[in-house]
Amino acid sequence: MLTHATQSGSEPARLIRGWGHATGSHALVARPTGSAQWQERLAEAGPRGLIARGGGCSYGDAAQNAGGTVALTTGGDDLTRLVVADATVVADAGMTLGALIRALAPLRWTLPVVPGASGVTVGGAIAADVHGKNHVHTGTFGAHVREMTVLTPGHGEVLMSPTVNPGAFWATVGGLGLTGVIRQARLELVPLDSWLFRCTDTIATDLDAMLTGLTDASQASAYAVGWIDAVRTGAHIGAGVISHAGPLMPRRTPPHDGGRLPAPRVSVPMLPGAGIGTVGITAVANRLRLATARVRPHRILPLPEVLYPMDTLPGWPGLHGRLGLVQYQFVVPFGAEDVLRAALIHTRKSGFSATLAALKVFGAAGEAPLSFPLPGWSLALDFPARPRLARVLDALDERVAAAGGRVYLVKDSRLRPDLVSAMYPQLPRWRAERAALDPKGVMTSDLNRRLHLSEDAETGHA
Amino acid sequence: MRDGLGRAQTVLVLGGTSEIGAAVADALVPAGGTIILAGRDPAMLDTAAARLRPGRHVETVAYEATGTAAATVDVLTAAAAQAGDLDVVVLCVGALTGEPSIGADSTAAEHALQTNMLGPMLAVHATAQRLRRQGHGTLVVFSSVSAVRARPRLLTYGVAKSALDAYARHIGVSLRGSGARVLVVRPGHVRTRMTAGLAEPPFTTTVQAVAATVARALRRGSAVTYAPAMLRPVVAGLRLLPATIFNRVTELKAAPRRGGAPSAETITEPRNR
Ligand SMILES: Cc1cc2nc3c(=O)[nH]c(=O)nc-3n(C[C@H](O)[C@H](O)[C@H](O)COP(=O)(O)OP(=O)(O)OC[C@H]3O[C@@H](n4cnc5c(N)ncnc54)[C@H](O)[C@@H]3O)c2cc1C
Ligand SMILES: NC(=O)c1ccc[n+]([C@@H]2O[C@H](COP(=O)([O-])OP(=O)(O)OC[C@H]3O[C@@H](n4cnc5c(N)ncnc54)[C@H](OP(=O)(O)O)[C@@H]3O)[C@@H](O)[C@H]2O)c1
Repeated sequence: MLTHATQSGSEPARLIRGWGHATGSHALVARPTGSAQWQERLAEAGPRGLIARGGGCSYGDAAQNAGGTVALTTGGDDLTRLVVADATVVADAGMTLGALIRALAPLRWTLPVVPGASGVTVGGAIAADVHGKNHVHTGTFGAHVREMTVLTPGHGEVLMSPTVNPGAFWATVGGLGLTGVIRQARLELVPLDSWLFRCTDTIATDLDAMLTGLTDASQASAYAVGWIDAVRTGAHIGAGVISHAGPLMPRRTPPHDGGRLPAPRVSVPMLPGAGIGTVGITAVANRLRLATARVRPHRILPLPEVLYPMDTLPGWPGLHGRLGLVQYQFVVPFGAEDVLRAALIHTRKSGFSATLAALKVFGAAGEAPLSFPLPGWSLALDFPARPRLARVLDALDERVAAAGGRVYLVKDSRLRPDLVSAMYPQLPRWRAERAALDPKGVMTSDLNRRLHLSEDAETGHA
Repeated sequence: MRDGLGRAQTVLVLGGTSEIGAAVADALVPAGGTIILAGRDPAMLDTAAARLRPGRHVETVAYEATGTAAATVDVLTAAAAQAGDLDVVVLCVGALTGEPSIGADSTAAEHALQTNMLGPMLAVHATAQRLRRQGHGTLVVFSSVSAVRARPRLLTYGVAKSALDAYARHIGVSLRGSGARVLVVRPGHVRTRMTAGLAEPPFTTTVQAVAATVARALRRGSAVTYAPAMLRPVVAGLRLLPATIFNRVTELKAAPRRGGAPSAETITEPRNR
């Protein structure tokens, strides 16, 4: 029998999908506001548990919970409070980073770490310990969280920081929502030197040039990312464009109102079949991208366009057709460059070429046991979610793990579960902390069930 | 959980010694996944488990289709206790009992109805409840083309499958919006031990082909599929025939299988279900 009153009631379950549209499952959607409602939700969660969901920008099933409850943190009236003091800001977990950055800009402050989508929330950024295009300088998002309040099933609201409840703090940073619901956080800020950025594109003709060029650019500039033309083969494997950006100094920027989000340039419908996910179409698109870099290597762009270039192309998953898209993002230590090469060669040989391939350099790893970045190369590859892709990526998982690397869990939708503990050797430490915060396993998600992250996911609920 | 590429992690086969069931599980579950075979004969379950491709966890559970409804619920609970969520449940219990072999024996009729109708229907009921609570998962029900229109020589089997087929489809509709679904599969003649020695009608197929059809239908989210797919228009056509002609067409002699002449016993069995 169902124990959760609303589960058998009139409220129908809704299909909740990942950003990539390749995953999806039915769950009850709750929109609690205020601590009392959140506590009630957690206490009443049925046998299928509850997961918090922020902006829904995770590509796969991290913020899905089949048959259970998905609780939205973006519920509304919690979002008004914003306190800036002492070079920190206190923000509610449901606030998007895009909104936060806009609100901070007139005060000439900004966030040290920003991922590539403006819709990511503070809670989602902490729960995935996200990184930006400046990881070598700043580390991850979690490194700049001064303290946070987390509603846990085991102990109610708990204040956590690197010094107060540090074990719980680092288990929640990168903890994929499985330790509790982050309610509020105090985040460190950095001065906003300029709203406008000078952006430069440099062409790299092969992988070696890409790697050395990106290393230099990452050291020299505030932000750097490599875009790889994944269609290229042979000697030109790894060729592409290195984009780097730095503030337009000194503060010669025109007065601003906190800026607008980049206006979508094109809005796209869902395409049939695999959409643009064919080698031919990707080849044409990539040639255009290269030509643009050649013709206009220098540009002045407002901060949002530097931070979230994908926001100018909403509906990117829809371009991959009905099947949706999976992103394969992995990191391998310096010295394992052969794995980058293998990933490009093997996917290409199997008839796939990533519609988007982004390379980043990572610096030192953070403290959170499930944090993704480690010193080395991060490659993110987008593919239409064709079943045939499974074999190629399964084989790559093995090479990534053998090289001491790992796959990014918050973006995953198909990783081999048997390799998770090799990729995340601190998993036992995280499990112990999680078990203390959520002894009954209330917090759970499709990702957790699929990859058996918390031990009790193996057995499920009767 | 099924992953973003549509792969199932855990498949339960009710009727675990079924050749079709094993082939479907084999096709659906990747390395590292779990296959649970449920059946009544432990030794035969072990043999079936050993025939699966390596690399998956294989478990067995005791299941008797003529048992009580409560016992059927327990089988699902036991399977889930071993493997967690059930992504796909394949129901392939069945016994091909020709009308001539039932004859005047009421107990034989009862047994045929229990095996092909009552037992499987209780399994559909119990599985639907579990998948609904789970919020995901697909129940694959093995019906038959003979469910579409029963023939005199296979009356009990055809009518039983027909009831199972209708029940499963309606349960499928009632699951809409829950995340759980039902796929009804209507195979024609498939080469398995069930049909061994029988003459092979046109469109005879293999277990591997049936498994591929099921995998495709699962990806598409279909409610009903024929195996092979060509049978859909054929069956649609046959349905429209007047009874006298239909009976004559479907009882036509087909080519004896692989050279071996059918035994006197199997000749009394119909050839095209
Ligand atoms: C176009 C694009 C570009 C991206 N670029 C980057 C990048 O450069 N670097 C990077 O690191 N990531 C990147 N990402 C991934 C993204 O940053 C992460 O998936 C992030 O977690 C999404 O946050 P969200 O608020 O949308 O969370 P959701 O997708 O809703 O949830 C993600 C996870 O966070 C948990 N969560 C959310 N809110 C809370 C809360 N209040 N308390 C507890 N747990 C919570 C969820 O349970 C889930 O496990 C990108 C994504 C997109 C779509
Ligand atoms: N083969 C075909 O041409 C064909 C055509 C149309 C439809 N179908 C259907 O497809 C399904 C699978 O058939 P198949 O060809 O794979 O045949 P099969 O190998 O004979 O499988 C039938 C299965 O049902 C099981 N079973 C029978 N009675 C049972 C009971 N009382 N309790 C528990 N299990 C019982 C059998 O178990 P035991 O091993 O213990 O007997 C066996 O696992 C059946 O539903 C069949 O009706 C088959």
